[in-house]
Amino acid sequence: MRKFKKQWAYHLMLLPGIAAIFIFSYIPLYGLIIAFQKYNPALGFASKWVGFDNFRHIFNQPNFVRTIWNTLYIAFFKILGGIIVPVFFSLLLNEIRHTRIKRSFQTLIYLPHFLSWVILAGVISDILSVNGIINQFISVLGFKPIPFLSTPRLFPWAMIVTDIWKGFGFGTVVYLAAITGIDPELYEAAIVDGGTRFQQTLYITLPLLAPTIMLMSILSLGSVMNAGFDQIFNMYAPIVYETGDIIDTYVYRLGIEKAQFSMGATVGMFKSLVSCILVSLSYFMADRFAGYRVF
Amino acid sequence: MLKRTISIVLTFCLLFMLLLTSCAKTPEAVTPAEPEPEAPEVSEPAKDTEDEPEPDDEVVDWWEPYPEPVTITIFNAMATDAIYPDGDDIEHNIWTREYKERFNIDVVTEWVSDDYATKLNLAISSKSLADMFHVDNAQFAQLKEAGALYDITDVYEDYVSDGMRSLMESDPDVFETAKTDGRLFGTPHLHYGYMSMPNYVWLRKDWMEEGQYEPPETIEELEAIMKDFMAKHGGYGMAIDQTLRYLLYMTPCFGAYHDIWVDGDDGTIQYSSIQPEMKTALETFAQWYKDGILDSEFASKDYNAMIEDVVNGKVGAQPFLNWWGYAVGPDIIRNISDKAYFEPYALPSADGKKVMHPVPFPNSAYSVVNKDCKHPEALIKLLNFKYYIANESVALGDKTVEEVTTYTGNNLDHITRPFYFQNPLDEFNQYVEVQEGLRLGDSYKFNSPTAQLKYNCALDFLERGDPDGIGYVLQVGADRCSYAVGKSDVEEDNFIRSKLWGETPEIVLEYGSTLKDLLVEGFTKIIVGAEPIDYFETIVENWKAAGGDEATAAVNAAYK
Repeated sequence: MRKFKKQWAYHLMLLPGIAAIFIFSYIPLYGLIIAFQKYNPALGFASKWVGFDNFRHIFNQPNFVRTIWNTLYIAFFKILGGIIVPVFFSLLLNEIRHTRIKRSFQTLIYLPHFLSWVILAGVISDILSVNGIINQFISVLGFKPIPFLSTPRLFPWAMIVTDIWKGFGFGTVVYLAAITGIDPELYEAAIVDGGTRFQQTLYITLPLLAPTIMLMSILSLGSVMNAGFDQIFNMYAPIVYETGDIIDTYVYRLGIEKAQFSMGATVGMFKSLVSCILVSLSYFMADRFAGYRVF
Repeated sequence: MLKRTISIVLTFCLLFMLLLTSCAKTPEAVTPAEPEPEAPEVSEPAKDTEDEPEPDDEVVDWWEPYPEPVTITIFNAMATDAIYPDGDDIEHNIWTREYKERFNIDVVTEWVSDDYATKLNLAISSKSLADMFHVDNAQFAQLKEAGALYDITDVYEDYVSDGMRSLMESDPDVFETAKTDGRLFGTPHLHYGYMSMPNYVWLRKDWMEEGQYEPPETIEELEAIMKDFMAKHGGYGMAIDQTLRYLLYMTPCFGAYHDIWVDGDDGTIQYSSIQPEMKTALETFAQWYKDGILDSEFASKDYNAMIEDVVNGKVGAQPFLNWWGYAVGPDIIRNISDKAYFEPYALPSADGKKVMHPVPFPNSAYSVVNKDCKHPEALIKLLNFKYYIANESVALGDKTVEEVTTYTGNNLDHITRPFYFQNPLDEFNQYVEVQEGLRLGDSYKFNSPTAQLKYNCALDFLERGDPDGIGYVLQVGADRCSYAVGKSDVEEDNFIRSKLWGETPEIVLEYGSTLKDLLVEGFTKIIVGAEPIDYFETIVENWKAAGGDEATAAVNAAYK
């Protein structure tokens, strides 16, 4: 209590943020009830109560389970790659002495982050098509062209790789910033001890980068049920539904197209529940194995 | 550590409680509100209307202007095809001025949207509805269930003009869907008529002339033509896209129909896409894919990519609707040459039987009145007025064709929602008139302003080579235009109407497009050879298990 008296000004400063979260994140939770209703927008929340019918309807769909699997599969590798690639790149960039070259690389790899998937989908479809630049290269090497976007086996990987390509610039910038914050004295000491640059990276940069990596991983785990609707929606086709249809695209076709709001809410709630469990799990795991905590 | 764990646990508890309380509250929230929407609401507004017009029941004149200005608020959908005279827009135009002058009605547009259905859903859920607006089938059902619509049975009977009535009730099945328990809750927008229902296989004109082929009568002849095209011009045979929408336009050749409901052998209603005829069609398509007639990459091509190939001259055949000329014509002429356009041919038969065209239930929109509206009869008055302008004013000698064009030309007849309908006879009649015009030249006097417009636009291409006129030429303005080819289908009624003729049962709506998607996915696998043809049986089983059986039962319950 005494502590509070001393810090009341800070708590006051927290208030607008808490209010915003309460209004925009907690109050709308009430809307979750439409997952248990046969929602009719004209009746609003007074629509007919149907209990778990919507959940039953969705889980009875034979193709729903595969969309969960696809979502987790694609999201997992996106997250994994989204950690490894930027860390690797930031370590490499960090070794570049020439500031201007370093900066221009940084900017160049950051650029795709700002492009919309709607536009990129068109570009990537062209690049990956049978007559695209990649397949022309493959043909020159004497192999048969590969239809990346219409081969079920390859489609998820096309999504994963292009997503990592689009996003890794952002992660790189974050890690570079973290590296800048490392005390230079440590490197000086290492040099005095005769440590090579590789050893410096391995024994100083990486360990000190670990908390940031951990934080970024935990943050990204929140999106483990989001495999990227706008990316996949703009590039998939019936032939790759088997491996490329994720929960969001499936729900779009099941509910949103025909304004079946209850279905959308049902799946949204299911996704949140699963994400909540996975995030808590990873949080406790991070605590257990890396000693990392937010609270 | 312990403290922290506790605090986390507490946070979750709090969260969970919030959830619980909100859920617990809902049954209470439901009960008081429930009787309101479900109870007699429906009949209540009916009483209102009986009071008002009854006294002067016989002398109601729909032309009568209101003594005091009446304001009617509306929602409207963006009409991107309309071209306005200077200073006009969708809210202020010749129509709205006439509403004011003739009827003393101020039509106020609350909003216009290019994503009308979504915006309207928002308006419905926030209960901020205009006096009059148009809705789709699902919204119509929801609003009726909620008792939010005016029962217009009586105002319709009192105010509808004879011409308008004959049009509205020309297809009783359609009109019936606007009713619930015999009461009318909206006016159907109808459809473009049977003339627009058949699909065609479009073949490239200059390549056809070069090879001097006869119009293909059988699938084998069509195949031979496509293979010849490929040998001479490279590329592949037939342009289709990943949704199979266009390829499935070819299934009537095999007596198979996609996505309608038909009579099964056992007397029940069955879904057409899972019938054995579809298997035959798929077998042929799979062979086409193997032979390179179908694009090896179609499975990843969307509509635009498909059209791109056509416009770039990679392909000489394409199954399409009657308006290929508008969709692709101008681009291919600009890109290749004014001889490079495609011409429509009747779908060839695979088995010598007559090709029938599948027709899904054609009405998809209704104009409705808010139950709180003070002047529901305004809807009928303004509908009458639209009918008068389009169909009666010239015949009565009130207006010249040119004058009517200022109302309906440049697609200005598309901006009058919700005072809107399509005339199912228009397309056919206008086609006949344009053909007469082409035969007789300038001496022909047009009855329909729209027909005259189409004639003029067709001449733009025929006489002046304007690529934008090609759409009209290929639909109504040539010996081989789509309506000329399809005319006999209309005259002989070569149509298979879906047994689902009216409101779609709710269960079918709840499956969204997932049931159809399941078929398209399976069909694609068969066509590209990823699965053998007998996989069709598996697809049918999957479809049934995924909800197809449930949907079939619902359709049978509603329409048997």
